[in-house]
This record gives sequence, structure tokens and C-alpha cells, in this order.
Amino acid sequence: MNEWIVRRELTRTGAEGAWALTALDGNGVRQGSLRIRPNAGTVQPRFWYRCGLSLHGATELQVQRLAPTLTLCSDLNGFHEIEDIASDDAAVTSLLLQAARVWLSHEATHTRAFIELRGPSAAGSSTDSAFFRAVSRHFLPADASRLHKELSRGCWPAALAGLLPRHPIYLDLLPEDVRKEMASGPRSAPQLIQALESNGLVSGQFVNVVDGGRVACGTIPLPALAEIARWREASSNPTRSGSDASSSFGAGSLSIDVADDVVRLTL
Amino acid sequence: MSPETDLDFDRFIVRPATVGDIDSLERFAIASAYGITTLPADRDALLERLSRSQRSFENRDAAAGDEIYLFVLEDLAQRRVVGTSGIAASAGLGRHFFSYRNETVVHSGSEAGGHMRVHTLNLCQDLTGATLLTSFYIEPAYEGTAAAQLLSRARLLFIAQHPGRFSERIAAESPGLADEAGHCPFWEAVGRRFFGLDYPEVERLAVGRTKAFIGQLLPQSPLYVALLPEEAQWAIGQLHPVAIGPFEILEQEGFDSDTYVDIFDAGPISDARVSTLRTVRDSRVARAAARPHDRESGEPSTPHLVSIARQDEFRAVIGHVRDSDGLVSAQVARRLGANGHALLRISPLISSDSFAGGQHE
Repeated sequence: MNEWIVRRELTRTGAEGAWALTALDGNGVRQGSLRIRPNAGTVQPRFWYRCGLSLHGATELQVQRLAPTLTLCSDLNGFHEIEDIASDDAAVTSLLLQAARVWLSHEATHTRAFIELRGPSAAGSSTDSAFFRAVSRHFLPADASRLHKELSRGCWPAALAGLLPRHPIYLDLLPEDVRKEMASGPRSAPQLIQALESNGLVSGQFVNVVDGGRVACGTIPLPALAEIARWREASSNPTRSGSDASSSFGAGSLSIDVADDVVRLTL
Repeated sequence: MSPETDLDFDRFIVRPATVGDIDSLERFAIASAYGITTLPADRDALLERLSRSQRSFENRDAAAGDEIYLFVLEDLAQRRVVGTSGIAASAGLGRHFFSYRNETVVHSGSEAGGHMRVHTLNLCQDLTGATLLTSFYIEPAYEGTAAAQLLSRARLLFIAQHPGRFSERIAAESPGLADEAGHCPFWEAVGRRFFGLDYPEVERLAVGRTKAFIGQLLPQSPLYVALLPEEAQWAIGQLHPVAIGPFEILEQEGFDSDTYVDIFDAGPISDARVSTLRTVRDSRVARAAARPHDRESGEPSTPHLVSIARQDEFRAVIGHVRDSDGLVSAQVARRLGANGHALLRISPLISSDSFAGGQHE
């Protein structure tokens, strides 16, 4: 039996509150953490670009073209934002997300969440990306470093709303390096991507308005029975290698005990 | 042969084009730069346009609005046609005339958010129904003479004489940047992304079609100019070198060229109210003098554009008008084939340091 504890600490940063979740193993050793900002964007609206397709067709010429577009939207306002994931283990990340789901189920009306992934070419700053140079800088304030700092703290200046483009941006009209950059996907670690996807958070629909980085979003589900079975099987074969989410979990059932700001997960 | 000086303008005359001019027009179409869609390099298409133009000149009935009028410039000394120009009575009537409208919008953030000026191109049909000046071409050897002024402005005299046949709004497309192979930076950055065709190919497609396909294929929402490649940005509103001379003539007349650009090559589209154009505004009806002007005696006179007022026998030349009584020289009237009682329409010739010939659409 493996017993895990996830502690929750309530914090307040920016205009909206946040939870800091820390995962401790059976020995009480910290294994990972993340932060959740419930119902993000409901106090200070935020924006993303929605990735879409626009059909252009001329019956006279019998020509049809599907043109990829980016359209400013606020679709994810009200979703819970996941950020600052500090974990190298997909299993631990998954554990934290499940614990988060528990609290969200109890205290929020839904478990829809999103996470902004690092842009594909951002070496250290969003403003280094080809997307920023080709798109964002034409709309956002010149003081990009200050902007990046504020956005990193989750502070979305209300001033930004009026500066962003209201009409669709056609990706085909952007420089080739931007299109390549956006097609290459996030630079985030594969294990993180795997953990997110196995918890219902998938990228491809939205991107960040600063560096064009992908946004993974979706509804965090309860773990499927098949998933639990996989964890059980992995636990019964300790020599099996791999980096899937089940590798760190033990056998048995998944039980969850919520008390105060602690979730106990027994596997 | 090279008519170098303004004084040589006695040898030029503008008249309606006929099907007999097909060889000349075909020659001009082949020699034209990309972007002159109203001079298709197709003999049958040119013949059709010439026939249509002849019918338009001969039609005494109320104008339907789909008329076109093609003119040719003759060098009487050389006895040949050396240029052409045209008018389309109503751009896009029953069809669509698309252009991009230049706009600058201000995106403003609240409080300390500042603001950004954003240049956009907006697909529009503002110029649908406007009268279009088209098909301008003059042989390079005639650049630098008053012949180009005559060829371009004679059309405006015709419009001034027959206002009921034309719109009060007038426009003229000038070719934008494209090289001899048809490579056009604006087309490569924008149009090709939606049409998937080479620039010369889409030009051919545009002739004789309703052009509704343009509005269906191009984005209906504004394009953000800053997001386009630099080469394409720079091409917006830029002229093909061959268009500089005719464009200057339009500017002298009072056309505005900052608002609209062509959807294919982003060349400037000049537009104006007909009544404000210099040639139209300053034109008046005049009569011929009974005897020739004697310039050598020192009678003051001023060079004017002079045209005969009849629709189907339109002719235009540059000639002197006596300052004292505003009468047109009898010699000029004879060149027009006008008798002493004929009504003539005249307008002062705008002087220019260089009469540069060239092309516009």
C-alpha cells in the first residue's frame, strides 16, 4: 500500500485567490507541487487566441481552402488555472491533479481547467519567441519585459484588453518561422504532457496571446477503472520500466480521504 | 522619330478606337506590364472590347451603365496609333468591384495601458458603380511629351461633355509592384495564400468573370498590415515604374490616392468626384474663330485641350485658345474636323515640368 498526502495551502496572488498543492510520499518527503487558481479570469478577464479554421470557397472556380486562424477569445475565463507545476514525475503530477479535482468537486461547480504551456522557442522569456516578434509586439506595449513580468505573476493588466486584435489573424499570412514554431508544439517535458493528457487536459484549441504557446485545457475526470487497473498491474511488476503514470503507484484501490486541507490517497 | 517638345502637339489627336485598331491594341496589350487587366493579351477579348466600345459611342439612348469607351492616340505625322486609354462607365455594375481600403485604427488600453495605431486593409466594394479610367498605355518613345497629357485628359473632356453617362464618382487603378516574370510581393504574401494561383494566372481569371469569387476567397475581416512580410508591407500603395507618369497626371487633376489599393498587387487606386477634377471643373464650351490665330503677331493665347462635342465623332487635340475672346483657333477646329459652327469643349492644359508617359489600368 502506498499512501500519499497532498496538502493544500490557500494563497492570494493578484486579483484572484489560489491554492498551492504539495504532494508528500509515505515518508513525508515532498515529491512535487503545483498551484491552482480557481475560476480564473472571473475578476479580471483574460484573453487567448482560439485556433480555428476558416473556409474560403469559390464555386465559380471550384476552389475551396481551409485557412487556419487565430481569433481573440475569452473562452477559458471561469476555468481553473493550473500553473507552476514542480514535478519531474508524471505520476506525481497526475496525483496532484487528482487531488485538485477532489477539492474542486467539493468547492467549485465544475472541474474544467487549463494550463498555459511554455512557448516553443521561449528560451527564457515569452518575448523571445518568433510569435511575439511577428505578432504580439505590434499590439502589446513596448515595455515587453515589464509585461512579461506582470503576466508571470498572473496579473493581467486590464489595459491589455483594448490593445489586442479583435479580428482573426490568418496564420498563412505570418512568416514561415512563426508557422513552424507554432506547429512544433510545446517545449514542456513529455512527462508533463502525458500527465496532463491522461487527466483530460489537451492542447491544440488555444494559444497564449504573448508567445503563442499552447494552452492545454479540458475537464479533469475521475480516474477511469482501466487506469486504476493499469496502476495495479504496474505495481505488481516492480521490474517493469517506463515513465507512465502508474509507475509510482502501488497496488490496491484508490481511496481518497479529505480532511481539512489534506487529501490522503491510498493505492 | 521622337516628338520631343511640347510644340509638337499639333501632330496628335485622340479619337474613339475601332475594330480596325486591333493590331495596335494587341501590340499594346503584349507590351503592357502586369496589372493592366483591361488590356488582355488575347485578340478575341480585345476585339470584343473594341466592338463593345464602338457600340457605346454610337448608342444615343440612355446609358445602361455597362458601357466602355476606348480611345486611341494617333501620331498624324507618323500616321499610326501610339497609345490607348479607356473609360468604364460603371465599375462592377452587375458584378463586384473589390478593393482594399486603408484604415488606421487605434487600439486603446484603459488608464495607463496606452494605445497602439494599427494599420489594416479592409476588403470593400466602395468603388462599385464608380466610373473607371482604364487601359492607359503609351509607347515609351512618346514619354516626355504632351501626348500623354492629351491621351489621359481627353477622357475627362468626354466625361465632362456627357455627364449623364457616367457616375459622379471616378476612379483609376495603377499597377503595383511586380517584376517582368509576374512576381508580385503583395500577391505572394496575401492573394496566393487564398487563391493558390500565380499572379498572371489570376489576372487572366479576373477578365470576363463576375469577380464574386474574389470576395468568396479573400478574408472578409481586416488584414493587419504589420503582420505581413516587410516586402509586402512596403509594396502597399507603391507604383510600378511604368505607372509613374500617368499617375502624376491623375494627381495633377486632383485624384486622391491614399484610401484604396488593388486587391491583387496593392497598387494605388485613385478616386475623386468628377466635378472636382481640374479638367472637368475648368472646362467650358467654346467656338472656333473665323480666321486662324496669328501667334507670330503676338496675340496671346493659351494651350488647351480641345474636343469636339459630339459623342460618336469625338476628337480631342491640344490647341491654342485666344486669351482675348476665348475662341479656338480655326486651325485647331480644322484638325478636329469641325466646321465653324461646331461646339467645342475646351479645358486649359495643365503645365508640367515633365510630360512623362507610361501606363495605368
